[in-house]
Amino acid sequence: MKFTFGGVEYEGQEGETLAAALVRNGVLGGFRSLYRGRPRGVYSAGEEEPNALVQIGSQPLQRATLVPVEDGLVAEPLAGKGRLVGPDSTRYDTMHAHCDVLIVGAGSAGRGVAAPARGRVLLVDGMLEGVEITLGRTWVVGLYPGNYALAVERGRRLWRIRARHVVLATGAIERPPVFPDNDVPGVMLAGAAARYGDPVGVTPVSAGWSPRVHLWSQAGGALRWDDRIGAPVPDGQLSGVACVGRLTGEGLPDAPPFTLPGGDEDAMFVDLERDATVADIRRAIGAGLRSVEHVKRYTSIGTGSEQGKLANVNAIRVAAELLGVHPGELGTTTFRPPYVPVSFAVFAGRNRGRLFDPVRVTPIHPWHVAHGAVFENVGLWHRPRYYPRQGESMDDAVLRECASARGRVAMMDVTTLGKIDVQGPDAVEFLNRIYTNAYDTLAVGMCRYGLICRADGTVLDDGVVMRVAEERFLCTTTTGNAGPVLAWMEEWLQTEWPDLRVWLTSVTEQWATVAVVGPDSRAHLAALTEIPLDADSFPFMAVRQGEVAGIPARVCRVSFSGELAFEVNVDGRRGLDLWARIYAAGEITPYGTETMHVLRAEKGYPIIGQETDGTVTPQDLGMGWIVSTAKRDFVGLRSFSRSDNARPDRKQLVGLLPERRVDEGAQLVPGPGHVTSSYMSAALGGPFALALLARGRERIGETVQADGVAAEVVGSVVYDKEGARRDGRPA
Amino acid sequence: MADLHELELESQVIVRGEPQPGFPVEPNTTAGRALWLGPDEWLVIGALEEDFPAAAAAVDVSANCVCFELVGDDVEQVLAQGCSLDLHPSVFTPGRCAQTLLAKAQVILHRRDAETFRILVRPSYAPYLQMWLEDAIRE
Repeated sequence: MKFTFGGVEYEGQEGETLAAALVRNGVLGGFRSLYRGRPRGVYSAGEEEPNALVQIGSQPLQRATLVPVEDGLVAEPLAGKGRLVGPDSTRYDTMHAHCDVLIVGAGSAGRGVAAPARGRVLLVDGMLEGVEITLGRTWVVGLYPGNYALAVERGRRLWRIRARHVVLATGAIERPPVFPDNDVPGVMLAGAAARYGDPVGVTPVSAGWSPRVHLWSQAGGALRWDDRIGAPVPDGQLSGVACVGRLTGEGLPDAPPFTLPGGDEDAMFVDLERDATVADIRRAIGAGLRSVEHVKRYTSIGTGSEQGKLANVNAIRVAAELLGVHPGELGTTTFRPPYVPVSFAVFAGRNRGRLFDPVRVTPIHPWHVAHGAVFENVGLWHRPRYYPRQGESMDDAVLRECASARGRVAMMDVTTLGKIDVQGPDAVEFLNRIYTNAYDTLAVGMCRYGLICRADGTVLDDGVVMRVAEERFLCTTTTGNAGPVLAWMEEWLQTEWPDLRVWLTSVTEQWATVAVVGPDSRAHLAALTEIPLDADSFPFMAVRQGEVAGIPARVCRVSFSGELAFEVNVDGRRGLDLWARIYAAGEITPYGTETMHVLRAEKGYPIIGQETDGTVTPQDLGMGWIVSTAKRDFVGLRSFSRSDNARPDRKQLVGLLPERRVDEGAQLVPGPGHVTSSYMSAALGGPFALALLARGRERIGETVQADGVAAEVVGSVVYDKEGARRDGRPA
Repeated sequence: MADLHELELESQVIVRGEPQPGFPVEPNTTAGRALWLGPDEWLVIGALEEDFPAAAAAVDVSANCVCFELVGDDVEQVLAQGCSLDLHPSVFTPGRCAQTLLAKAQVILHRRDAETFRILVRPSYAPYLQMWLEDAIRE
């Protein structure tokens, strides 16, 4: 087979690495060091290789000592830095594995443990492969408490392994001696030279062996300095983790005594990848540094992609020599995952492109797509933002949709709102404690708007609470907070009030919900249902059961626009059907989240997360009316008497009438204050905004500057302040 | 290669409170139509709210989940790509169930037999999960 290196073609042999093939072809150099540009060559035969880094196709930072040679392989030498070259067609993925025994290292010690082991055994090795090895060419890169290991198979698959027992048989790495010009091509670790067949021109060197203590230390294992081998070895116990073979120091030869030879210390390399020398360590110590952690940071020894596998023990020995102390007194630098470099693509796995994150859609989604909706992300949901007609801009579409909702009738898919079924004899008491207002006074068949505060009195979420039976309620949440509100309720129920007999069930997707909005909504729905819809039979905030378009439905008279509106809830599987039938029943305009935002803002209704930011109280929003003064207690109550929450200079929600449209987030001068929402209003015929402004309510009538635009401060309700439109077209 | 298809499930109901007659009480097991979801929570397939008048709560969730069935001699290898539970047949035996994460979707896994898993997931996550499973099956 043929491969090229640095543009030159060579002959490769089956089963050898790129480094072995280069050495066999007499290429002892071919590389340059990163900072000093010194000629370098293959130095080792493993993952500790500091010199022979190559770029292969899209993959940078590959070690020639680990890459199997293949026919047509094209490798370019790299000096330390790699570059990502896209596109990368590799398939990356993740596997979860569980085993009784995880054995790391398939040398003789590891195989010796694996052979008699019972149960589910995983034998893993970074270099080797073979029938008795469960995961060949797989590096265990991290070992964490609880015997949780991360491993990378062939650079493309991440293994997440939970093991009952871990046996580390990671062996030892040969240590280079420190002498002048110990980095020139041809100087090679003795073990590597032997593996490559002791080729002509190679100078084999060795200063002993250092156990691969990395995983043991990562998992929290202690180390001690072993004078016989001149390196740290595992010390003490670690629950569920055992060390065997040369990792323990057993079977390793005695290290030759360590001395610094005379000569040019600036050419005595300690970290070849970082071009760091004995001279650098001497400078660090001269600067007053004593800790090996500090010496590492001063010299950058051990910070290359090879992470000091060759350099760190020598750095400790050199520093100890220069300081005149025993190396055991200096300790070691910290061993951190990953043991070998891992590309970000491996961690991403298949969470890329269309699988990057779930896209949640409602049952009505196919209709939205077919009718040209432009979508926006709300949490993980894709919601229609607006439905442009041919050639229509977003602003034009939103003005048209708003005008329909205010002037005639429009419809929106509000299925994404969170829904929580609350049942039990203590449901009323529970809701009284969770929401700021009272629920004992809510009649069956009626609903009520509610706010949930955190313990510090800031607004967490809002929604509508519907009493469907004496001991059963349905609470809605904002789209993004469906999960957090359920978790919030469960936390209080389970940790603070376990005596309450209440059961919570998420039913967000049980129901599909369509809002029919506008002065003609009553007439539009009347064609589809027998439920009496007149204001006397079906008052504001009432709930009615019946059929809509032949589908069993629960209909609520709630409004997030100020207009007469009905929300029709049906079995989620009938949602698309319901939507299509309402759409077909007469002229009606579908609208999206942008129009919904404008309509609610004209009425001063806050959006959680837009008008609120975790510091905003109900009183700041001008919603003191929803905070009960009669209830004995509820979450947030105590905080309303805190002096900070009673400060008169708090930011308060106000409306702005600017000369032209301002940016959301714009700071207000004089402030402090900022714009929270900003839109064009079809109803007002111009721009308006909502803002949080210090002492805002006192300042109604003043003019402020928002990004250089003059704006009149007004109340937060800029449209239909009297609420005359709630029951339909005003007489 | 494993086969993935969607199943049309009968009605489903969440039952809360004390175990009703015939309900499993060992965690993460099933008995008949009832799946153990928590110490006071079961999912019952093919039942209605009114079937459990003595329960603390019963909630119709028939539209709250869709069900995929994954069949093949490599089902564990497919699921292990996105599920951290130990699904080995000696551990996650037929009849076992669990609420867990599969890729980035919350699911209920239910092993029907050695080669068959049911995967219940919120309908909004179904298109994502189906894409993910089809991709994992190819691996």
